[in-house]
Amino acid sequence: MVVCLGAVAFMIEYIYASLVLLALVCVGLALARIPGLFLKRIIVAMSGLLLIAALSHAFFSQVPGRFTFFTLPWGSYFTERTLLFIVTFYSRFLTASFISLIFLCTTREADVVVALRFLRLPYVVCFAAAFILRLISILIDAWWTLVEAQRARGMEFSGSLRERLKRLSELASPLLAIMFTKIGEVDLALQGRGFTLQAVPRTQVRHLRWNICDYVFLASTSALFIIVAIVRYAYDYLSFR
Amino acid sequence: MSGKTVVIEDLWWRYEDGEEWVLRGIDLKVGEREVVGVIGPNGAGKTTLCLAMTGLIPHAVTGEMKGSVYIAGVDTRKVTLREIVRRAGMLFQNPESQFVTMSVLDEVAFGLENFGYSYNEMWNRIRWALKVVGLPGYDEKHPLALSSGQKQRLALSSILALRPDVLVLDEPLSNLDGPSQEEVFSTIQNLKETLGTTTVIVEHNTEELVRLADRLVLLKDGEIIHTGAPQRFFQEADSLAGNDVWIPQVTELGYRLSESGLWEEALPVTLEAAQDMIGSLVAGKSQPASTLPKPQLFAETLQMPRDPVIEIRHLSYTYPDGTEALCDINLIINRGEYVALLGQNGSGKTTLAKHFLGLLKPTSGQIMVDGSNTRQVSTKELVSRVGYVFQNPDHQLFCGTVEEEVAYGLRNLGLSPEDVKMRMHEALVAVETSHLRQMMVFSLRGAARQRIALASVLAMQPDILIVDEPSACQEKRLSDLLMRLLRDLNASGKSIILATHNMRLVAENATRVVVLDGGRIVLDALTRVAFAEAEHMERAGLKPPQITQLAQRLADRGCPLNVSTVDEAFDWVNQARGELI
Repeated sequence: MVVCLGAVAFMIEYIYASLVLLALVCVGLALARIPGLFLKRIIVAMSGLLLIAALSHAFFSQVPGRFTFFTLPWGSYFTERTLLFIVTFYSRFLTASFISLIFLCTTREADVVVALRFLRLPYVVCFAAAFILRLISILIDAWWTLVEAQRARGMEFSGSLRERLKRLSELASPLLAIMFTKIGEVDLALQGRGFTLQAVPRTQVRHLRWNICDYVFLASTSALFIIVAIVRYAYDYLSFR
Repeated sequence: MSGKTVVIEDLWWRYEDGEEWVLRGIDLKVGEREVVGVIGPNGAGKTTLCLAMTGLIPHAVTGEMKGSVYIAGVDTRKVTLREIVRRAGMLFQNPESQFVTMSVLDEVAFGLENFGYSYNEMWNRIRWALKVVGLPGYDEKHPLALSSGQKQRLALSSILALRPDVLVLDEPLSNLDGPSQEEVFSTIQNLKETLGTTTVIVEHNTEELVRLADRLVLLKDGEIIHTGAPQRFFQEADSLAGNDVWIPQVTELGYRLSESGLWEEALPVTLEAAQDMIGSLVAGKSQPASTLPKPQLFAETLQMPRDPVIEIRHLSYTYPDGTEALCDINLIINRGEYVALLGQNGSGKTTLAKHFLGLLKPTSGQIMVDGSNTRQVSTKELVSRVGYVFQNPDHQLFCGTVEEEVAYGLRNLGLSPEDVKMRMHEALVAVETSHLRQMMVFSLRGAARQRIALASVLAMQPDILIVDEPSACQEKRLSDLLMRLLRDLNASGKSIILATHNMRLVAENATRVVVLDGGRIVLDALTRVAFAEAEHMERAGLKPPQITQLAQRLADRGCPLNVSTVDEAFDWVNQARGELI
């Protein structure tokens, strides 16, 4: 469902339709009660990357328009439609990102694992997925703690990109050491509760059941995906104009 | 001997990568329904002993083992780990490292799923285990979203679901605030009374441990050097203190009275026993409740000149996820003050402390550190004035060798190589680790790592030193060293800010306490005054030191409510007896 909606966001290049979809997704964000400050930081963090991506695309392409602001030595030019392109680019990426964000903030990792087990994947695979999710949070925590520890002793993560990367790379070995320690601790905790990778009879406490709204939502997002794909590629509507 | 018992016979153990034996000829029998407390300094082998009592040694940890461990009559070397795990469960020191799933329900179910319990049996056990630890209704919560006490109780619940015969708890109260300690403590006590589970608890907090344990065992350098029922165990208080054991304050008081010839009977180990002891010593001295004066406070002689080194105005801070951590904080810390930041886990102590260093910038309001607005200066500029010792040394050490670690901050300050060398030497000498300078940081363990973490901050010679919940405070010898260093630094004019749950350290060292609750300052007073404000302290979930609790119980005999050290209590007893004569 998330993939369908994300694909829809990318397929719609027509600015008004893209903005309407973005507005709808923003309503979804409000309903999901995702904290505004958190959103603000994500948008700020994404904006830089998106701007670089949009500008580099704009500067190396030729988008014809009524007014040409300037022409670049390699033949590319910047028109009012280049600006429109950048806005559309932003809108599509933000929409897709917000859809993923709603999914991540409203779906528990446990449900993802249960869904994997529902697909009858081997237990080891499901457990590995859960464990990776767990490790990601450990890794992020350890990373920020180490960055804080370095800053607390006068290290500044500023300067040229090369310098920043060099400083960040210095965190690799302590990060690995922390990870290995944590993994060792989790390993003992796992074995201490009877976990083994050998084939032993296991049961599960959660049983996933599909209900009506799951079917309705899956059908509607799939239908939306098919309709937008047909309109976009068979009739060439919703493309950038 | 079988049933719910643990029998250890001449156990020796050394890790695969170590040359030294970590356990040396341990002989220990834990009887059915018995609760045994294990105490001892860091590196004594306590956690290793726990691993051996749950079969993780030798099944999951590699090394060399001699001797035998029998759990419920079964030799741990002759059965699989899964068979042992059904009989003995271990609660690790850090509950977070024990969580392997992402909801409370899944966490408790994990062990049951591994053993293939039926759906109905699983639900029965989950409901029971969550009820026993007082966590019903939290099924879908993420384990990491729980409070510290709840995390520890969840970890305990996930072990209990398997209904082991033997429970092994590795420092279940460490890093917990007062109320969380009480939550976990009551749960363990409840288990002892209702289920009669055989329990082994490793714990530094002897004041709490004596309330629970039937027998105490002192482990040092891998050997059991002293054992006995709590009452008997602490009769040799002087020799125990020399072995890095935190003696309960009431026992210390009894020992002082006994040394001075005032008390000839057994030393008290609980508040109740101490109350009886003092009661008999000052019998006849009483004041009717109706004529009880307002809390008597010792005369305060502290006259701190007003010279703000940290000035906070209307500080509020909200984390990116929307959590409001600090709300309208106003605080002035003067040069040369020794301030303790107190409060429950999550009350905002660490968030506030990180603002002093510019690691966090205020959402609103401002902080002036030595005249500089933290919004306008970088952390790099602030670290020459403010030092920050992290709670966990593992989070603070990231260099190769000890020398590199201590020199790291100094080089960032732009000091000359000569100055770096000199300061590094001084700091390593101060924490008694100059012999470790060529060692790799990650090869060091426990106490040594804590000392290096401290040295790396001390070397920067900051005017303000923040020590945030140092785990060093749990070990007596290291705690004594740390407190001595902080006192010396304070005496030389440095400002010290100590965030800790150890009220004894606060009472003995800090001159002022700032109590945080829910991100707000609820009490800011001189330490003695604060401890007498029982209502405020209680509301913030804080418990005064044991000796102050004793004083408050003796209020009807005229004991000042704010006695905060054993010396003061001893002086009062002498004075009260003098008045009687």
